[in-house]
Amino acid sequence: MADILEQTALLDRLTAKQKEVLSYVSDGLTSKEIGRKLGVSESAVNQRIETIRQRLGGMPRAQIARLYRRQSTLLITIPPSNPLTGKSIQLQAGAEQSQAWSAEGVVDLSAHNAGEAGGRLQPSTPPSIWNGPGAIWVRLSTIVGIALALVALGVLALDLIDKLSRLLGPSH
Amino acid sequence: MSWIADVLTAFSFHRPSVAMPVLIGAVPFAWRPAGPPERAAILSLSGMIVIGLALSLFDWAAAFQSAADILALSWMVPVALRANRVYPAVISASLLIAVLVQLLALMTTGLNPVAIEMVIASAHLTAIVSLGCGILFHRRRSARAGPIPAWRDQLHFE
Repeated sequence: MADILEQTALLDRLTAKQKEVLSYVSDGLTSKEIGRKLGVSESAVNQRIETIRQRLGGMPRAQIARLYRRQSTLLITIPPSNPLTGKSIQLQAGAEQSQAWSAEGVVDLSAHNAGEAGGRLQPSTPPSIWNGPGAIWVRLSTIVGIALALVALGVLALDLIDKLSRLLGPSH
Repeated sequence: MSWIADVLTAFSFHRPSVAMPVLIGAVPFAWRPAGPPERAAILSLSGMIVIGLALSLFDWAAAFQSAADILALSWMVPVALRANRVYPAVISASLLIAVLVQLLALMTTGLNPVAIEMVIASAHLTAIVSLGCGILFHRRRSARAGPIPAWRDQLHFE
């Protein structure tokens, strides 16, 4: 928890424009694409990113992007029927899911309807067949499958070329 | 159709033809932006080229050309199983085709040697193209998202 707060404080040092650039970086855009969005050159974007890096203690670009993604806040407005009556609260991503911070302090969401106020902050990713249990057999099968597909493609290509050659006749 | 054979066999790693010097010349440039699986693939194909070049100097060594491909395949399959990438599987599949065709040629007679050479060269060409595409994709993805894990955590056999 102390880590999260410390890192949040680091991001607070950035200006709004720097945070805008950082949001694009965390979305996975390249400097060129960010430059296009902001209407500046790629080198200008790289300079801004370098400034951001210096302000954050020389962190690598990817680490800054991860930090920003993790520290992105979700603004949720609680409906009037809820005891928190329409006050907006901020859920800190990565924090305890049963807690949230509002202007009044820490709120225990587990006592309320968590379905309305939030739920999972980070969606779980389904296990990939390529990386999960039994992946080695999947990968071996993929290698054999690709080999068969390449052979089939090669045979088809040669057959097509042969037919085209016959169609066009002998070259002089 | 003979021009197809000439073009394809130029890419065979068993001959000191056009593709081999180009590939060897490209290795130093490809090495720097490459990640660990890419470098393993570069080592595998480069080793196959070097062995093929060495064996082509001797007339009696034609039967041992398949050894270069078998070595490269035995190197690439673990890389394909362990790497956090998809394209090593394509390289492994290409090398598998080359190895099987060579073993078939050794075990049977009456097969057209030019046809065999064409298939092997096509497989080698596919491996080169896959490796080149893999390095480009890796570079592009690293530029977007920063460092990417090169290997899977562990091999699961269950």
